[in-house]
Amino acid sequence: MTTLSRFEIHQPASVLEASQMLAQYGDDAGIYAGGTELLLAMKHAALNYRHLIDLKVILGLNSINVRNGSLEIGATSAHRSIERSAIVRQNQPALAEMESQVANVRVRVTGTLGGNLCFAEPHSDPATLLLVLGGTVRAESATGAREIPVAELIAGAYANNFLPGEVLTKITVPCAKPSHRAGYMKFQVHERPTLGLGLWMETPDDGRTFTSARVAVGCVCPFPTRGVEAEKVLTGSRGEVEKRLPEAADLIADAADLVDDHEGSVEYKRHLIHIFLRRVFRKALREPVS
Amino acid sequence: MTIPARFTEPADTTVEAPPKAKRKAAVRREVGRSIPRLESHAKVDGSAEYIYHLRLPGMLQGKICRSTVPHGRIVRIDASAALAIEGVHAVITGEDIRTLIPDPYYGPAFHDQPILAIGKVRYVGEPVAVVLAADLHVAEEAADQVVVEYEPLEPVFDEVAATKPGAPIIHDSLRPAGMFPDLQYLKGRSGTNVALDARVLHGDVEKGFAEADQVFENVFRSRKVVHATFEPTVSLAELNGSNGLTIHTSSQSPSYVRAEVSRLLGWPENRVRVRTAFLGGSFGAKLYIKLEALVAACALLVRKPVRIGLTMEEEFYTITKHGATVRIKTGMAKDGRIVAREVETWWNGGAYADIGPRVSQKSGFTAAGPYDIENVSLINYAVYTNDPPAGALRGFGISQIVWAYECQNDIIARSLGIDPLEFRRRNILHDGRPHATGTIMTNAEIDEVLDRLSDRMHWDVLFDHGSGPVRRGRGLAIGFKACIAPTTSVAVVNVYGDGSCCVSCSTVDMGQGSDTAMAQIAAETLGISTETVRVIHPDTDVTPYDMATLGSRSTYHMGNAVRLAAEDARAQLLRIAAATLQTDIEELEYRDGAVISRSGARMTMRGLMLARFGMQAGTVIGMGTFTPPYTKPDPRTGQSPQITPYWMLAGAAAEIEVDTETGRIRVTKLVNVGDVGCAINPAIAKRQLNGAGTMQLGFTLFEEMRFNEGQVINASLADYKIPGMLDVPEDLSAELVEFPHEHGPFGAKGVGETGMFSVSPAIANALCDAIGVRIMELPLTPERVLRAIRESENRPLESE
Ligand SMILES: Cc1cc2nc3c(=O)[nH]c(=O)nc-3n(C[C@H](O)[C@H](O)[C@H](O)COP(=O)(O)OP(=O)(O)OC[C@H]3O[C@@H](n4cnc5c(N)ncnc54)[C@H](O)[C@@H]3O)c2cc1C
Repeated sequence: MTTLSRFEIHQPASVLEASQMLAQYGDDAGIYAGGTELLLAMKHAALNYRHLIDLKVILGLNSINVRNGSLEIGATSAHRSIERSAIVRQNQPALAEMESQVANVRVRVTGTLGGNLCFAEPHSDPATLLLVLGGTVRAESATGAREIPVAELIAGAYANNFLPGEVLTKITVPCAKPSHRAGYMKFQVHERPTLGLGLWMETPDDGRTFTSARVAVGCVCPFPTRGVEAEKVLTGSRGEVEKRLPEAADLIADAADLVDDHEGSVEYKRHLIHIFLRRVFRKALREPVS
Repeated sequence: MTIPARFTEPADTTVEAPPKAKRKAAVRREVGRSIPRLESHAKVDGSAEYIYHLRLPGMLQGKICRSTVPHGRIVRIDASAALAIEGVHAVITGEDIRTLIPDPYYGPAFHDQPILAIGKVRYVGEPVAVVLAADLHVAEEAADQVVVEYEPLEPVFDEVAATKPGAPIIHDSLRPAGMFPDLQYLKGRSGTNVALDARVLHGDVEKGFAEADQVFENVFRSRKVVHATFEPTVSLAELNGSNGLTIHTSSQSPSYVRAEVSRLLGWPENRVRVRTAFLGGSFGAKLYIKLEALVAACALLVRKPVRIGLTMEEEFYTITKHGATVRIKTGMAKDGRIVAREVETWWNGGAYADIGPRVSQKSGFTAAGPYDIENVSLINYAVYTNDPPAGALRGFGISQIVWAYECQNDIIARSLGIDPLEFRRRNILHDGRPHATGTIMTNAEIDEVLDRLSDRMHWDVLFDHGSGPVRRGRGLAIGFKACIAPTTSVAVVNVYGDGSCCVSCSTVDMGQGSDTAMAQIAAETLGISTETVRVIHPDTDVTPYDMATLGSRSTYHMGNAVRLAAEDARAQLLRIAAATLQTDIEELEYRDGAVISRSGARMTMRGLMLARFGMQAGTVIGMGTFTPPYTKPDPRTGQSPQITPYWMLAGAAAEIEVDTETGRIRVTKLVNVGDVGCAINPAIAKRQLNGAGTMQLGFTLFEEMRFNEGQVINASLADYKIPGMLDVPEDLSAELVEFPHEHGPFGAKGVGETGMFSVSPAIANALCDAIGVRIMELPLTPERVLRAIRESENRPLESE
């Protein structure tokens, strides 16, 4: 089907009310944030909701603050407002930069970070970076609230781990510290990225040695995936780490369930991981990438 | 449809081009001005009419239920579940259509396509039934409930495999349509998927190869792509009085729709009225019959207005560009001259012929390129496969052909150590020399096109290829097309009592700016300003016959018809004044709504009306008909002294950057040069070149319909990428070569397709210039480029 079927829009005054509405309408209801994914999915009958609960009307749910050394981003913050937020640029520049490259400006103005994470589209950017920045999300419902690491939020392609009635209200991202280096790069030919690669490293001595690292790949696989084994070889002196980048790239590729699709073959995607791991390493160190 | 005798009369002489110096343009007021389009305001404020928005009182909406198998027999259609849904008015199948139209097969070249499938389906997505309901949502829901049971047959998708013995046969026998007498010999032919094999033989190609110093042979491929017009295809039909039918449709060929729907219904043409509005793009997707026969049949069966509007996704199952396999073999002399060329092309026409056989023949005869080659053999196979049907797409097959010969020319030039530009110069087909069809070239400014390309690219200046992972390259290509023949355009220019004027013609403005061009031609002829002219949109009850808006033919054909009609109206006005003023017509001039004599006497429009009609009201109607001469080629050899009214020459050049680590190509500069005769509106003509160049850029770099067992797996704009703003080269430019064509209206030729021809090989040649790898298949995706790089380094990608 490719015509939007009929639905009713509900405007809750609070997260609690939104959660109650979700409980009341059950499978017939869905959260409506920017609608950039939701409406397409409904047009193709991938989602069939008769009741949409409009989260954007809840006051304060799109605020961006710093508290306890972390950025707190309200779920309905649009990509565009995160990209342009002085607070984000100051406290986690890698996040602001990644956001500036999501989709196109029309989608960024409308689409929200919360919606992006909840939808778990395999070709999405933010989750891959949030995995390495150590992001968590807050899920609230009528019966309580819990904090979930981004890694545990995504259950698979187009699937999240929310319980019935849960609403994502907030994304928390630790602020960057002077000893941190982080970067995200993507390779894109079509409407959505072919590959996304996020890297985070800790360096006590301005890039001469690395004491810990986190790396994740997205788009080439059904869901963003941490390269846990790769992270182990990405510590040590800069020279050692650079020499081990190809090994790390293979470990990342091994960890991810690479998919053969119209974005490219498995071999090509493995190759791209090699190229972009080197590039994102340089980028994180604020050096020319190639 | 019968063919008027004049179509088949041989031309008595071939046309000789007058020396270029003499072909200088006269002083003009309207033609040659870059007037903003007449409809621009309406398009911005939303008042421009598009058929997709039209709703008729009491109408039903139709949703098509489509085949899920590429080739199969229909065992059973069960519509009971669909009919049980509240609000469903009817479910129509092929058998229902047969009660109205006993032989419901249509098509411009072959009557092979059923309005709805009968007994058999031939591609995934073929219309099998239609659900009608007042509410589109209900129709959609019900279309999913129509149960169709198929007995699968073996499919064939590859155009070369489909011609091999033992391939599954898609049509039991060939059914050529009446419109093209030269296809009649194919009638009843069975056991083949080749709808047409068209040949051109010139000189002795065997002898040419035997005498050649070196022979090159390559195979080039291009995949299927889609038009992706922003207004999807739409048609509505309603009963008109007790025995008529009105069809509102997004069509490029209203006159054809009237004729073909009348033929299907067995009605005289005057009972079918077809009207169009602005089209939101078309590029060949909305030609001939698309949804018109279906809505007509549905409206007559249920006696209510019926609308069917496709979604963007359904466009992918309606009409596509041909995929093609081109084998090209070229014999070279030591001095860098081409002495023999043999081109064999397999055109993937999909399940129904549409205009495919014409695409393969009319483009196929140019397959040796705009080069002077003594010995040529060209063979074109229009092939049926189980893909969605292929038809015209902005260039009518030319870009698939140019892709082959211009890539190969570069291969040859590089191998012989000749500069690619110089190689082309040495082999150009100059005016006065015979083309492979025997037609003598005239008004073909290919030297000039090459000169301009060379200037714009600073071809003589050493080029920096870069170092490191990003390499740079530049490439060029030229191509040409013969305008389709034989065709006719008719126009009426109506001058009203106050001197204002309307142009009635069946040319469809689908974004190319034809309304403005026609108004400029009428205004120039009548001495009035373009902005005051109104162009009446096609309505077959009102506007006269036109073959169709296709193949870059409207400016030349309809432009001439409008010019003739305006001249006719002007002559009538002058005759009225001459009789009243008792002077010679030569003494008089018509300008700004009045006749003025050399002696200073002046008759206003009111005076002219009074003199002619006895009161200050009336109308003067001018008529113009234009059919350029044409001689049908010999079916055996393809030879004709007059194969086309004019040639369209084109060249493109590109500078690119290649990321050798990812294989990604970025086009940094794209120049498109087109030989347009004379630009009626230079700004619009340049935009046509740039627009076409950008469209072909998408076909070159990433556009590709991807199939799985006949199912298009990227049938939406989310998965099928078309060029966006960021894909447009930073330096994109177009240049017009203007030497007035002696028979064009004010010297004009067509320009709608010209910018498509040469872009793909220019980019592939630039890729080779940058990194020395040659790719023979479109599109030039990053992975394909990277694989080619790795193969050239003897370490294929797999071995990592
Ligand atoms: C043309 C195009 C290009 C794109 N390109 C990119 C790209 O390059 N990179 C990229 O990362 N993304 C891309 N996207 C995706 C885009 O980022 C997302 O569409 C957007 O962020 C989704 O947010 P939304 O607010 O529109 O979500 P919606 O469409 O409103 O919702 C998406 C889903 O999440 C659910 N949901 C939304 N908010 C919540 C919540 N707070 N709690 C619980 N459930 C919720 C909804 O019920 C729905 O199922 C693209 C999208 C389009 C249309």
